[in-house]
Amino acid sequence: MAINTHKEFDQIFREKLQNNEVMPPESVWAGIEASGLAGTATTTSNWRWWAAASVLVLFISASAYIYFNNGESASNINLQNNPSQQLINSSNQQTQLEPNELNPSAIVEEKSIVGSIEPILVNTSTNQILETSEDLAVIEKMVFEENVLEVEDEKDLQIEAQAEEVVKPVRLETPQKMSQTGEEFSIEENITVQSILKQEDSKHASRAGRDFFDDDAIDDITLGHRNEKYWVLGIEFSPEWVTIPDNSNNIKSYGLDFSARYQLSKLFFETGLGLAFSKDNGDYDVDYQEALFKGSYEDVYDVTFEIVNGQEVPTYFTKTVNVYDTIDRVSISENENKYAYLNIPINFGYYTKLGDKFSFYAKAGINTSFKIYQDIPVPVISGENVTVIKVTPRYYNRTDWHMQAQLNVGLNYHVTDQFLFGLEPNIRYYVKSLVENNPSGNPYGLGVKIGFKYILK
Amino acid sequence: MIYCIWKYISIFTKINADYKSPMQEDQLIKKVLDGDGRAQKAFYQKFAPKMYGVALRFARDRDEANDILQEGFVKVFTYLSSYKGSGSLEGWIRRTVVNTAINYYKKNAKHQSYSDLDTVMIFEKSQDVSALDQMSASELLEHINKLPDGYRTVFNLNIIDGYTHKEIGEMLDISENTSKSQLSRARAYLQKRIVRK
Repeated sequence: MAINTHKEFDQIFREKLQNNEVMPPESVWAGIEASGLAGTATTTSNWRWWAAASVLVLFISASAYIYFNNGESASNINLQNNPSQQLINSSNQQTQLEPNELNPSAIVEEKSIVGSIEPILVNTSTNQILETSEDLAVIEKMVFEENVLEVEDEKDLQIEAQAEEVVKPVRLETPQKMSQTGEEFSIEENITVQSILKQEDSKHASRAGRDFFDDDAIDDITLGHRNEKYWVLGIEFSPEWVTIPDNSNNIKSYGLDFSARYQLSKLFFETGLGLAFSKDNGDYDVDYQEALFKGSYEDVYDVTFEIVNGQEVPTYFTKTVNVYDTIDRVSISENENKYAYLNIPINFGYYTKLGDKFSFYAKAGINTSFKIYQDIPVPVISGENVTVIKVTPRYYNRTDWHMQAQLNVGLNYHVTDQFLFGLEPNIRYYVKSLVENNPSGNPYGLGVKIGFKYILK
Repeated sequence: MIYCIWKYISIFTKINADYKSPMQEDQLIKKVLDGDGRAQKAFYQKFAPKMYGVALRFARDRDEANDILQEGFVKVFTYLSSYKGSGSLEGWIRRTVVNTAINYYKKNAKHQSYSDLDTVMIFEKSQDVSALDQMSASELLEHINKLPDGYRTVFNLNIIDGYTHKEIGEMLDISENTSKSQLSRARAYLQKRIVRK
């Protein structure tokens, strides 16, 4: 088909493009919502804050729960391991427990008390002390019944199943050294009960999930560091990769952080100061016009006439005019923008030792960053007779400050008792974005901290 | 239990059907004006593909088209209450998007007076551009996107959207003659590129 007229040319464009439909990217709708569209916009912008806050609250709650649970366990453990310091209040001993109220699944532990020949039985799940003579009789009866069941073991499997639910009450063979002061009774030692408890737990597969938080297990894992308070100072190198949704211009950042952590048993509070250097592609689209010299002509700007010898003689006043052809051009000016930030983190976390050489921790909090320096090169177009028409940055301008909600998990290698080497991956969500006018959503960051820590004790 | 599941599916299906079936425009507008988020999205999904086609014609690239579409729809949602139903809703939205594109052009581009002698001459020489007819919409768009801003805007407004040179002059704050000359240069520019290809 040959196009001889404008009409045909125009018609083709009109037919093909007038009702042309193209699916827009999802980011456009996200941008519309974020731009203040009623209803959904508010919801969208708020949920991110709520999500970040929820994660933080959840983490702190979980840490607190674990901490306080351990606190309760600690008192039981100390009761067994540090007998000289742990006392059982005599008022507890007054608690009466009827034989028929005995919980058959309860683990029964035997204690010896100074001044009493009769052993006292302690229900570890309630810390109630069983009355000596009557309870012993009941317990002896239970032991007897169980022995009977064991004898009938092979005969009746159903009876065996019932017997499994009855935990063996055990009598301490020999009362240990005892003392009594006023209304308080001091328990000196109870090694046998410990070993029996371990045996009992190992028999019950259903308790396997409890073992990690079991008092003994915690004691073994933490090597006696559970109730300590001390400071930990750290210096860490922290590269980070920040992704801005719907923008290929990812940001790389490198930081040096100094941290101070106050360790309170298994929980800790951490703050510090950091310096981060960040850079991104500072590319520009540059629209410019280049004037190409085409030639020149003499422009007559004035003419005067004089009468010479009776004839009119014109005088032409001219000037040379150069003619240029202007060509629209677009160029991409490639630059690299550099920024420096001062970081102030505030974190709360949970810490636990893993054997002799390793420890694990998790922490969450916020990090506030203030821009203290930036270097943004101006785009340059080379060539003669060039006029820059428009410069459009391809990057987002940075905000003066930004804030991230962060979640970090870390593993320390204990080089010595006080000197640690740590590796700490982290994820961040920028609750206050580090770039301006970013309709597609706030950035996410993925980073790692590598460095050393020193325990001040 | 089964009844509950069935009831839930029924309600869910009905809700989806409400927004996906050709709902009465006035009902949809009412829901959008009431701030119903689902209706707003349904409204957007109904008109966005066609409007994105418009935005792509006026923009230099997809990023710019995204901006125009986004800004255009924000205006549509903001001023939807002023739509009185006198003309077609699609036409009203289209005008809003076109105006957004023009504002975008005015804001970002400095008007230039082009004196491209070469292109005028080439236009006169161009006779055979049969390849044009075989091109897809996206290929044509590609060529339009490469036009200088002023040429592209005038070409779109006049040739595709049907505005007169007088209207274009008022919209772009240029004279009627400038609009005409930019259009002929746009044609020449396109023919030159298409013939070369």
